[in-house]
Amino acid sequence: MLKKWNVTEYINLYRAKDILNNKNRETLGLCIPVDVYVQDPYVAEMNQGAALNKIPITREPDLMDGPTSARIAVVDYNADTNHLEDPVHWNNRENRFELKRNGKFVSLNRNHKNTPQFRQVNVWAIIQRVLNMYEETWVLGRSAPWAFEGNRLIVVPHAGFLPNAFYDRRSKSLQFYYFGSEKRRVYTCLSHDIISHETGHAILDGLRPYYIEDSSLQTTAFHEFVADMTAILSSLRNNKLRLQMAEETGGDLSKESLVTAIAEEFGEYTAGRPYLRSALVPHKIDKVKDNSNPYDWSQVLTATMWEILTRMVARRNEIITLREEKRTVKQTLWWAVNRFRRVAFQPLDYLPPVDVQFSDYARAVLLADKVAYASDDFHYRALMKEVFKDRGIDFAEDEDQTDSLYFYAYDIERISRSRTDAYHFIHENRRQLCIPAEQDISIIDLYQTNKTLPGGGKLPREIVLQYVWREDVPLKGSEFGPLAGRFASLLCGGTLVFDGRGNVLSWIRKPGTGNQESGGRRRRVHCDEERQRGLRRRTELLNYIAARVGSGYVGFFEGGRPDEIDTRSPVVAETRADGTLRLEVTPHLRHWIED
Amino acid sequence: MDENLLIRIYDVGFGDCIYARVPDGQDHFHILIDCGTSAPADPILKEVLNDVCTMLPEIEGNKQLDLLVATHPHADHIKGFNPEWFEDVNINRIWLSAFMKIDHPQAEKTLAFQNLAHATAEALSKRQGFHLASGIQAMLARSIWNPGALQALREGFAQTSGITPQYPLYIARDLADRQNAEERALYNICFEKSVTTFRGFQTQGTCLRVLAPEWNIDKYYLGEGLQERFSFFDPKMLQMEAYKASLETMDESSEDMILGDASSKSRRTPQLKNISESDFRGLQNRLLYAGLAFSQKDDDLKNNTSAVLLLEWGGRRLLFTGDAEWQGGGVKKDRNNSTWDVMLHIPQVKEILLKPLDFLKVGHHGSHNGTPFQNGGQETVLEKILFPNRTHVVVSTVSGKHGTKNPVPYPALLKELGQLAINSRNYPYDHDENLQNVNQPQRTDLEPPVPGKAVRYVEVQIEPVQS
Repeated sequence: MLKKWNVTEYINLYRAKDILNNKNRETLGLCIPVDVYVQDPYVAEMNQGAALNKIPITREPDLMDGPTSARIAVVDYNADTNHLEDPVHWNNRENRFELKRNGKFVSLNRNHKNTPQFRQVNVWAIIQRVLNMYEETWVLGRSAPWAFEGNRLIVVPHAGFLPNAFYDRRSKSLQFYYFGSEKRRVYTCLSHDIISHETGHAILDGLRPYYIEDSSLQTTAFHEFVADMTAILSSLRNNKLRLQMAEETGGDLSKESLVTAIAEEFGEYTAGRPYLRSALVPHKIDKVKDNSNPYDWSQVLTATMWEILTRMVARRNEIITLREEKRTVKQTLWWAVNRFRRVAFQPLDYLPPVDVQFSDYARAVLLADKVAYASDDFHYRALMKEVFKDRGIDFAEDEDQTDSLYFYAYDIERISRSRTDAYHFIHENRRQLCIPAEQDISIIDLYQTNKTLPGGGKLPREIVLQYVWREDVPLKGSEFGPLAGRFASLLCGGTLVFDGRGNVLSWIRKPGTGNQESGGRRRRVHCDEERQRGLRRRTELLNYIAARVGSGYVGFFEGGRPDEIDTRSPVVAETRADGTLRLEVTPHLRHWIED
Repeated sequence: MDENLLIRIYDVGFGDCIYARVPDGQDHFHILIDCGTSAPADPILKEVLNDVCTMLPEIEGNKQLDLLVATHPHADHIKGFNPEWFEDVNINRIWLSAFMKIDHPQAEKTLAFQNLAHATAEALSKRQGFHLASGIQAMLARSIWNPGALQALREGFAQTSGITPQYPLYIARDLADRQNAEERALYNICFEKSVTTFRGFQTQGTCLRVLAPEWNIDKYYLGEGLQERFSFFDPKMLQMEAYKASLETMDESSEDMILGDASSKSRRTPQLKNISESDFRGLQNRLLYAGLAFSQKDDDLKNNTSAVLLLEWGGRRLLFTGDAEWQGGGVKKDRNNSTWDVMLHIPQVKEILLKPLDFLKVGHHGSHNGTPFQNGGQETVLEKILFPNRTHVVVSTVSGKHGTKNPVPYPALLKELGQLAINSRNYPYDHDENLQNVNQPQRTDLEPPVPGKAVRYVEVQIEPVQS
């Protein structure tokens, strides 16, 4: 089938891939069937039903050895041995990956599962799938950007010997390490959960690049939450795993399953338990409020979202039963797959550009649901509010205050034309948006979405605009240790979401402390309240930095040299040329290693 | 002859150099424990050694040192063992920690680990355009080979001094238990109270006991967990043959087998076709984080195999702890255990250890993990060994240079020691504001200069117990 397309024809066909279903894509030769581990080798050993699985990966027109696709380049370099492994060979004519055996290329298959080339393809295929999962029209409805300069994420499947894997923006890479004895070697690049978790970090970093700054515990925890949620929902998307889940749970998602357990092999080996983290913990904010570990915090939000999703399924089943309709468990889970991704990830567009808090996410979840399903016949939103509240994630529903915005006349087409045009709009409306006059503003992202419902219904086109500024916060007092006398940054800004006609759907912001107009006709009363919020934020930031310093979490770069590193500190403080500090989480200490 | 025991703890910057003059019969017994610094060795250590030499007796134009001890192979403890500076010194005995024995069968895995860490540290420290935070730089500097000093300690000093029997003696708590009677006699040691004890003094009651390390380094200090996690038998990982061949002759080519130089194209690295050279260089540099993990663990391993010595003289007890570390969680077979935890785990050692001391040279430069304090472990230690009317406590350290999470020296430890030391001081200025106006033990970095001397030291004189 494939051979009949020439290059031009194939590229044209490829452009139409989004409107074709999997079966059509396979028939047209738009997919590559690839063997991957459903979870990881440990689970595969324990559970033959969840061993290797053939998954379809969209075949890009210019695929290369590596594998190397438009957004991902696998570089199999081992820093310990300075060895560059032969990349897997892509045979475009035969539509398959190959590896060399006795001087000849042979088709890569599951019999080669112990070869580096199999692992190269395994890690690449899962990252492709995760990226695709986010970009689908009923999730983000657009391409997800990376946070670094360039558009290809470098993936290193055998980076060296460590019980770790991490996303590192500075080297544009995902690094997967291996560990254990030869008899029991654990390759993190074979763990579906670890791969998708790391990819989740990379994707969130692209969507909200300021979240990498350690501006608050909840912001750092939110990164972990999105990464864990990516692993869970990517697992749920796997047909084989979903079928097994259906058998194991009978459709009751509150039961333990391979999907809710994260990183089984890694957890078994390093922590001595059957998984590293779970989505089924009963924790509430109260339990972790005195805890400075972001992973414990993230687990609360993960469990909250899983409970919401679980209860949505249960409610839907109740209503279907009342209506005397019938759905198989498989059908229910398929519905859940699609609904869950939308509920969990579509709200990312409504998040502030900086300093996200769990309450911001909760509000965004409700808003995204409202935009998609205005009527809410099954009362899912009441259910969501109940779960958020029960878990201790409080938020004021009316904080959006879009009604109070009175912008000068504007043309949404002009705003969406370029970042500079968007800047002019923001600048003209500084007073409405409570942006201090002296602050220069960056438009850090401007994009449009093209979302649909899983059934194909179109959602309104959205124009999303993110603006940011920084306010200097002097660090005075012994509680800041070696940071005393320097300036931290209070990250401020907002995300404005318009519909295609220019109506404001959402304005979520992180106000600053700068003074607004003190009187007269141009004074905006709502900005007084905003400033008070900004002052509270500044106090919280100072307390947070002092606590970080006090607990010894902060290491330092010297003299603003960007390549300097401190491998032991979970957070590093870098001094910029302007004298301000940036606090960032150290990539390789971000997770997996447990002290 | 002066009847008091004299100890000088020199200010060498961040490092240790301790001289002890022990009254012995009609004479003195002269001991040098460690001689190193994190700073350049010359001139500071050279001047310190000159001062030590003024204390040594001279025979036929050569100064006589009775015992030289290197507690562990960190540069800040051995950098000063420059053969040129010891040309006029006859050394009668050389003791090195058992970990420094290059063919030690029960330290094979730990040594392999050390070699990997050395190679990594060398490669990292030489890498162009790769700047490291100061704490990491200091750690790498400590880990890197000190070939001159190691060579002198392992072979050179014994040869030039022409001493017999064969030295160095690689010491461990249970060394004497492994030796036959003839060997013990040759080295004047015995296995007394289950610890190796040197009885080569003229005075009958004087002895020097070795409380650590244990002979089986791999078992106690590496731990099964670490052995497993770092997979010492994976030839691809460690390239063991390359390490073994290059133990003493680590050169550019053997390093390159382990870590390529990201600043230039490695000859073994094939051309990449899917990313640019600059992206690859950036990637290589960042990937070296992994190597640092080895260096960090090696740093702990070296400290934990420190020789810990107890000198008993004239009814007095003096403890020298090298850079022994303390975790406080007891001994577990699957983890790398700390020296203090191992000592407290062995009942016979614990019995000897937990008695009042007259002198404590605080270990690990006053780090948070060098001394069991604040009752943080399974065993209450300090209040059993330190007494305000009896114990001299000295810290060799430099404030404000090391550590932000756990600064060195560690304020809480020094405050506690200050309460328990007979020689506590309230220094007029301390870099760490947590130590302003508090009692703390005597410190090498804060003591006033010694009049008429080019070097600075804390000197402690201890009288024998009156019988």
